[in-house]
Amino acid sequence: MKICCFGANSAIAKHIVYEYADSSPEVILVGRDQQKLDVEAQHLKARYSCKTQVFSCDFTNTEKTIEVCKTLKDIDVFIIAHGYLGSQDEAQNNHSELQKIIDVNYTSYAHLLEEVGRIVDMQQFGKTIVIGSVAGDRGRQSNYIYGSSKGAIELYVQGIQHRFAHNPKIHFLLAKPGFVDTPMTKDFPKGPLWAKPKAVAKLMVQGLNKNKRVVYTPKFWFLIMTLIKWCPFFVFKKTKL
Amino acid sequence: MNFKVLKPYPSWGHYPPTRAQSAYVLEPPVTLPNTDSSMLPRGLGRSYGDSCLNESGVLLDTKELYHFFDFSEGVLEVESGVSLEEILNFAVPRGYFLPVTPGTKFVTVGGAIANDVHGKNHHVAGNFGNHVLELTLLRSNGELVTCSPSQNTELFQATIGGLGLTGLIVSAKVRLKKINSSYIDQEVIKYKNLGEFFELSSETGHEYTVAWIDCFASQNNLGKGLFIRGNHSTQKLALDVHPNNKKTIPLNFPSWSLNYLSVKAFNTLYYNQQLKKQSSGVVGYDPFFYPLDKINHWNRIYGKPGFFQYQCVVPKAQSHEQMQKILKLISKSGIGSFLVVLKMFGDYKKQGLLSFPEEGATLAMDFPNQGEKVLGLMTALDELVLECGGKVYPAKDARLSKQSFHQMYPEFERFKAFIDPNFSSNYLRRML
Ligand SMILES: Cc1cc2nc3c(=O)[nH]c(=O)nc-3n(C[C@H](O)[C@H](O)[C@H](O)COP(=O)(O)OP(=O)(O)OC[C@H]3O[C@@H](n4cnc5c(N)ncnc54)[C@H](O)[C@@H]3O)c2cc1C
Ligand SMILES: NC(=O)c1ccc[n+]([C@@H]2O[C@H](COP(=O)([O-])OP(=O)(O)OC[C@H]3O[C@@H](n4cnc5c(N)ncnc54)[C@H](OP(=O)(O)O)[C@@H]3O)[C@@H](O)[C@H]2O)c1
Repeated sequence: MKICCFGANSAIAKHIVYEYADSSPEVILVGRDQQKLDVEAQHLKARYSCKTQVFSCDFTNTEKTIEVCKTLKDIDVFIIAHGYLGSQDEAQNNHSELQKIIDVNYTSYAHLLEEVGRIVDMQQFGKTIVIGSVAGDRGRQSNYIYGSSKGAIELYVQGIQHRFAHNPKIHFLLAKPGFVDTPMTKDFPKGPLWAKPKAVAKLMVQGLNKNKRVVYTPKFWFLIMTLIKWCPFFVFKKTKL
Repeated sequence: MNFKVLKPYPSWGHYPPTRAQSAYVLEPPVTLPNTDSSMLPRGLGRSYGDSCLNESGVLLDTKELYHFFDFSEGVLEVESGVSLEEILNFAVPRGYFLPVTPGTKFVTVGGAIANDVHGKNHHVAGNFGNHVLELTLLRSNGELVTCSPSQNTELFQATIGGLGLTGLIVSAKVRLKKINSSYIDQEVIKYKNLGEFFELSSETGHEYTVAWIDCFASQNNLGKGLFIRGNHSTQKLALDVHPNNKKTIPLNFPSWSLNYLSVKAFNTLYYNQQLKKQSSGVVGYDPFFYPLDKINHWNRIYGKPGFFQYQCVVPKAQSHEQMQKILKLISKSGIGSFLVVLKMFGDYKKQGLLSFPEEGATLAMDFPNQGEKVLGLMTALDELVLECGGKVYPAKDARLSKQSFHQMYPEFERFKAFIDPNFSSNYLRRML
């Protein structure tokens, strides 16, 4: 088995890889921070006897990203997991922050998904986990810039699912985590709605194995988001969400 | 990059009570945070007392330092936040086992070194530190020091059992033990008094030994209990990682749920669960070494006030006589304890300057926090321990007096020179 993980230093991504690790797959780690990638690669080797390969790359550098993708072949599972939460407040006042949020969370995903699409088309097999977010389900005043990027990924993934619908060996899963306790959310006070990265990673892999097209992780977010999505605007506008 | 969090980091005994605490979650490649506050490394918080607390400073949370570096010829090199559970998951299928393990697998390598922990095989294997071949220590001046029995020897000895005060242990090389089976051929012997305990303890041929005792027994039955001993199985040769179906105690129990009668009933039932004088069988390593791990957060049965753990060792020569006095005092006090454990430590040269184990008898038990009454009992126990040149275990202590500590650990004066100037703990501040 061969796995390729984009955003390999993300807490959730690492745990997705560990879900597969017991079978000692070959793992290709692509991420930004070379030193951290090296520690991860060494761990996968020592702990799980995996063969590893590391590429360091900022995904907003499209040229470099595509160059890395050109080297990939025979990949059984792709994971696309990087993300940048940014600051909604700042992005409302500063276009470079706005641009960064959209570039990292949407534009780079579009390029990567196209490259992954090309690869699986060539191979005629391959499964992919794409990490979206519950934040993409409805635009909310508190984080619509990040949220709309995640929402846009969903439409993109839908399109790709449609494109490959005829091939049962090719599959794309959009995973939508709720609140997860990771470095991305380190400054948020935690409560009962929060999940651990290991738990959400497990649900994502289960979802992929069952060929689901969308999974909410944990599941209860489906209920919460259904309520939020269908909440009439005259009520919604009174909330602080 | 390290990131800062503010959340509760209680000790296992929930005493002293703590509030939310600032901590830095460390990530590799490890650097120490830039802070004016004192720092203290933190593992899984399985220390009962205040040696894992640093309320006026910050904690260095090692949960993200879970990486393995290398495994060859039985020597495992890992980051300090790796848990013993993770090591077992890795090592058992490969035919290896922990060289020494405490009564819970939810402790980190860093914590196991910093308290130089011991287990049921002390008489043949010594402490955890005896199997550490090398460690890297990060000091607050940014220096990364490699320490081993032959390199920076004094700093190595200060760090083994050094209560996290000599710097942050970043990684360590530990020699694992080769096994042919992860099962244990176990014998449980019902014995009637302390004399029988010492006789059983002097028998050889068992790698693991421990006794559970009924602290309410008195007079001729003083010290009666179950003597449990075992070896890696020769009957069932399999290398299975034992599944871990944990049950969780969801909330703190009300403190009245534990009282004289419930503890007494438990002890009677436990002793009489076995009717025969002796029984034997093959058990997995998990129930043998970690019976308490089956219940997540079992410490919550003591409720909000928390509890104390008391563990002492008395030198071999006086152990019978002194244990008798100690057990009499506990039995008379009427303050019960569910889990009272008695074991003989062997004559094994320890690595650490402040390591707790000494050749002799060690007794460990927990007491609900009933305030003055319990504190008074423990102070009286300290007297009996001191009178024969014994010691109390810092990993479990939250209340020993400074004066008694200095009498028990005269090496502390030498140890002081190795304390990192920017490291501290509640425990250190109590003892300085
Ligand atoms: C059910 C139970 C049974 C137990 N049985 C035994 C037993 O049989 N024998 C025994 O010896 N102990 C036993 N203990 C105690 C336990 O093994 C020790 O307290 C152990 O040190 C806890 O490790 P930890 O990872 O939880 O560390 P913590 O409790 O978080 O920290 C312990 C100490 O280690 C230091 N430390 C942690 N990580 C590092 C690091 N990376 N670098 C430097 N210092 C560090 C801390 O500063 C602190 O001083 C038991 C505890 C429980 C809860
Ligand atoms: N945590 C949550 O509550 C939550 C909720 C919903 C969705 N998600 C999504 O889950 C995914 C994983 O996030 P996480 O929670 O695991 O957070 P994380 O641990 O902070 O991971 C985010 C990762 O994205 C990487 N990254 C950011 N910008 C990049 C860029 N331009 N190029 C390359 N890599 C970049 C970061 O790299 P560095 O390590 O170099 O910084 C980091 O490793 C993200 O898509 C996130 O949006 C998270």
